[in-house]
Amino acid sequence: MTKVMVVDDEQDLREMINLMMKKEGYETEMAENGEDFLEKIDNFNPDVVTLDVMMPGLTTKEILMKLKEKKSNPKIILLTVVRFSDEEKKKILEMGNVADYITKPFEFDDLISTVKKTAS
Amino acid sequence: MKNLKNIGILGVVIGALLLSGCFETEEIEITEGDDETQLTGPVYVSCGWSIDNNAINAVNEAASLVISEFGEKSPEYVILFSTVGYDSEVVLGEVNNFFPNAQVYGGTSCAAVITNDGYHAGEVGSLALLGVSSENISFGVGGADLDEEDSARAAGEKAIIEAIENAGKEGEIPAIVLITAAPGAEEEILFGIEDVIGKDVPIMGGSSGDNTIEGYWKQFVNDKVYSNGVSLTAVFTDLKVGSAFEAGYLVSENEGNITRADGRIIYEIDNKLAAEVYNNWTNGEVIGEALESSEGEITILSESTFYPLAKIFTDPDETVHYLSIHPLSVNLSDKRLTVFANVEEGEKIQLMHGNWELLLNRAQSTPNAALENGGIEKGEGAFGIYVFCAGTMLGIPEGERPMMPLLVEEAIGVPFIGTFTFGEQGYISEIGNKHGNLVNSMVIIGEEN
Amino acid sequence: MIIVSIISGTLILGISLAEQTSSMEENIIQHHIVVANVASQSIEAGYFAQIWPFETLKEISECESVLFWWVVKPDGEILRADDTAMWGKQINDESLGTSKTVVKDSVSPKTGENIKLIVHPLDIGEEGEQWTFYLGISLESVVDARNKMIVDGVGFFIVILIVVIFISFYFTKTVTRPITTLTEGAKAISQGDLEYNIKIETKDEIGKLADAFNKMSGKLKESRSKLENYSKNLEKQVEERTRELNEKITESKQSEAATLSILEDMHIIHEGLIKSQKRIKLQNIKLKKLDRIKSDFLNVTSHELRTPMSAIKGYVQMVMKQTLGNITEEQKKALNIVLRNTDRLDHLIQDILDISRLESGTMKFIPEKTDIKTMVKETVETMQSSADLKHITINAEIEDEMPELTIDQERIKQVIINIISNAIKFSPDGSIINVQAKKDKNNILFGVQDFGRGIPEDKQKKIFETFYQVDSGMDRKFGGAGLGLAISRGIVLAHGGQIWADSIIGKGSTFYFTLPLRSVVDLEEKFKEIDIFGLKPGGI
Repeated sequence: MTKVMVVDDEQDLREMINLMMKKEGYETEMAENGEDFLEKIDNFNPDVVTLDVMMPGLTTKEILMKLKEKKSNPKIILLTVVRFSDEEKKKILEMGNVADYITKPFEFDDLISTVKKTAS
Repeated sequence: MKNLKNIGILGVVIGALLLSGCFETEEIEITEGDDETQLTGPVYVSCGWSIDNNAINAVNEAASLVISEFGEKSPEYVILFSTVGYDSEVVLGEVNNFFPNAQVYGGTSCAAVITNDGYHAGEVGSLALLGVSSENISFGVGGADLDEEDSARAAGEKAIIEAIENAGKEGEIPAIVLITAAPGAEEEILFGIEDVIGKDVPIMGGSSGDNTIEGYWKQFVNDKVYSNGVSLTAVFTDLKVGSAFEAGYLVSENEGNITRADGRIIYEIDNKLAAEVYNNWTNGEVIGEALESSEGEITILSESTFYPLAKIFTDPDETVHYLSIHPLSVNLSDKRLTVFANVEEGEKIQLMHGNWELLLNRAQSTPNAALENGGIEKGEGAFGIYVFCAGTMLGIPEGERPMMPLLVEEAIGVPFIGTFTFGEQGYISEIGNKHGNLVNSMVIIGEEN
Repeated sequence: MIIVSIISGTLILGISLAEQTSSMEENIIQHHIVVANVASQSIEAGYFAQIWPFETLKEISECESVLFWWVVKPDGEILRADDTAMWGKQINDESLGTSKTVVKDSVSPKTGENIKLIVHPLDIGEEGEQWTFYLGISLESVVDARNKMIVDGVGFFIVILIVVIFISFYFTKTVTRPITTLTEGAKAISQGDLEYNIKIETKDEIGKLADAFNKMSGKLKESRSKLENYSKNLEKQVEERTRELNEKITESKQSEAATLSILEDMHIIHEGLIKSQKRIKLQNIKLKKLDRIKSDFLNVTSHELRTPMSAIKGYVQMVMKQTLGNITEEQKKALNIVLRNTDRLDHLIQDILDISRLESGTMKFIPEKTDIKTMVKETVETMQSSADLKHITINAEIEDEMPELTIDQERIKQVIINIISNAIKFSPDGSIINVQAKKDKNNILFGVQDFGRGIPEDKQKKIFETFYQVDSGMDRKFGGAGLGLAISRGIVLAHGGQIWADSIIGKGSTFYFTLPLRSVVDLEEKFKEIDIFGLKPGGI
């Protein structure tokens, strides 16, 4: 069964995405910021991670860096409020692991299909 | 100017007429049907009935109806059926007051009485009277009290002798005998009567009923009211007489031999416990789960109305006649089945079944059979007596019961009186007189020879 | 919205009611024709055996809508009826002896109420003798059902209305109004009115925003007055020193020491000037920082407003997809309304943020090399479906040799979309809209022509103002708070272009905007250094 980890500092959104994933039949785990995420990731070893880019504590860059030190190697979907230019997109993908991104507020269907695509 | 005005008025009037025609929703015109027959000879007959709460007023009302039709003549024979809601002594006494010269025959009926006017049931009680006067018929009413006689058979013998005497026809055999007896020993009574007149005279009637099967039934013999007696009318006439005695149920394939019985109790059928056999035959519809207990007694009277057992008679022409008997109760300790008629060991019985529609339809078929039997055309009879088992009447939904007398009336077209009984006696052609349950019967006396 | 809901609801209710009533009536009549058929057949089946289907007839008379049944002889005598009192009565009726089923209006012989009569031939007589079966039915059940539907419908309608009213009031109160207040405040502040105090006292995110705004304007005010003071002081000091200097210079002709002090003074002045310069630089940096704060702040706003929006949308969509259990059609419709309103809100927020950013100069553009022809074509395609709703055709006429421009493609598309949607809004059904793109020496000129009602001359500039709305109130649906054209203007200006409208009342309007061929460089400079991943909360 595909494992999805939901990382977002906003409780409502975190739990909502978690519920959506569960309903789609994925096994899920939640984390509330970068540190929490890095602590939990090796235990859970997800296939896909939804990662909010604006969280307190570690910056997204730092998170992605530290992720390289971990055993787990999931595909990351970034959840962001802004849109990126092509250059920035390139930069992001260079960070490794990042497979896709979705802008908030998102459509339920978009999230589901992106996760599905990433998981396959 | 004047012309214009006139034309205008005319136009308005015509318009109004047209409009009123257009706007009226169609109504269906309903008028009373043709009036009934007039009283002509050679048999004078009239019916009366009442559902007044007071017994005396009731007799008054019913008797007045009879008298009004009769005019100057007066009936020499009166049939009285009344329900136990009235005090029978009071009723019979009052009837005798109205018809001092008439012989009175009859008994109590269960719940209601019927005449060609319909189904009569009152809050307290109801009664019906049929008066007859004819030069061509001799009536004799006789009876006996079973408690006073040595046996039921002896009572029957006594009653018929008295009846023939009262008809002034000693030594003669009547054309037909009407019987109203108390429930319990009808078979013996029939034997007693047959001892006197033989087995070829139809003895037609029913056992008087009450409303609760508690023994309040009464029989009327002229001025006497019996509780456990028999009342008979011996009818001597050359006029056509037709009768029919029919159960009317459908026959099932379940049959067996009574291997142990006594009187009106069946202990075993085909060496198996009677109630269990009956339960199997009826697929548990009548007794059901109650059979599983081993104590007590249950009444199955109303359910078994649609699943009677039948005595089987085959006549010389190989025609098979089924006479229904009514299972009354089951004793759960020995699983015996009690019925409302006498049974014998070795006798074959068969299960019958029906529904209320079937029972109600008999109210046409049986009268028609009686007409055919007597060779009488509809409307050409003089009067009729209709007997309908109280059990089957109660099986018909209350709202539908009023149809019954109308169906009889439609078939025979003459005045009749009817009663709801707790057992029926009648003549099965080529077999003889038998006592059964759940049967309906018709007697028609014709106008011509 | 409420009035529209009421009117449309009533209409729908009325129409569906009428339809339902007449179809119910039809159904009942049809049903009873079948019943009459069944009764006739049962009677016919048993007639010659003298067996009447009493049970069937009893069931029929027990039907709620059945008032009576009669079996009538050819001569009009009622042979059988559900009511024994009718047996033997004579009837006189047109349809007696009919050979085909007749359905007609009539009056109940007993109660006089209006009934429907079904007259069915009964084939039980001899040849040439037509018996008839009459079935009288009451349509009370239809009336009852209709009344029940009315009550139900009205009740339900009222409930929905109340819910809608509540939702709109709630949204208005807690979101729309505060945001409008906020926007006005932001506008005022960004236009320099630093005294403006945004009056929002709720404890929610919007309240916090308002606080932040007020604090920001407070700080700006301080800085500004400090700056003013500094420059005033500076002027004063310079004046003073100059005066003193002059004095000393005239005095210096008398003493040598005076020269030295002059030099000293000049040095002091110089230092003072340098200090002032430094201060001014510091001020600039602070102002830059404030710019950053402004933009950070708008980004926080954006994030703070987007998050609850996401939660609302997400959960509503989940319920609608029946992921959390089955829902009724009515519930689905209600949720659709919620979703639509959420989207509306989102649009509104976007627009407000856009206009705030534009006016405070903090909008981030993403310049890319863009093929103009493709961009315009794609935009026109997207808009064609909305145009289809009004049977409007959009024609695109683009010069073949279009250069590539370095522009923010998303934003320019936004401008075109905004102009075209306005055009659709104000065009009559079945008209056309012409979109053009031409090249001239220095610019690319875009034009969108419609054949709507036009714009009066005195308004042709005003329409580009923030919050300006055409008074017909038609703007409502399109996420318009009157910001569309203002935002478009901001975007075009930031790209170094111009935007204006040409119109003749009653004939139509053409909206033009230009984009310079040479890309505007300072668009990007301000924002290039910002690395989104290196930021603490508040990054773009």
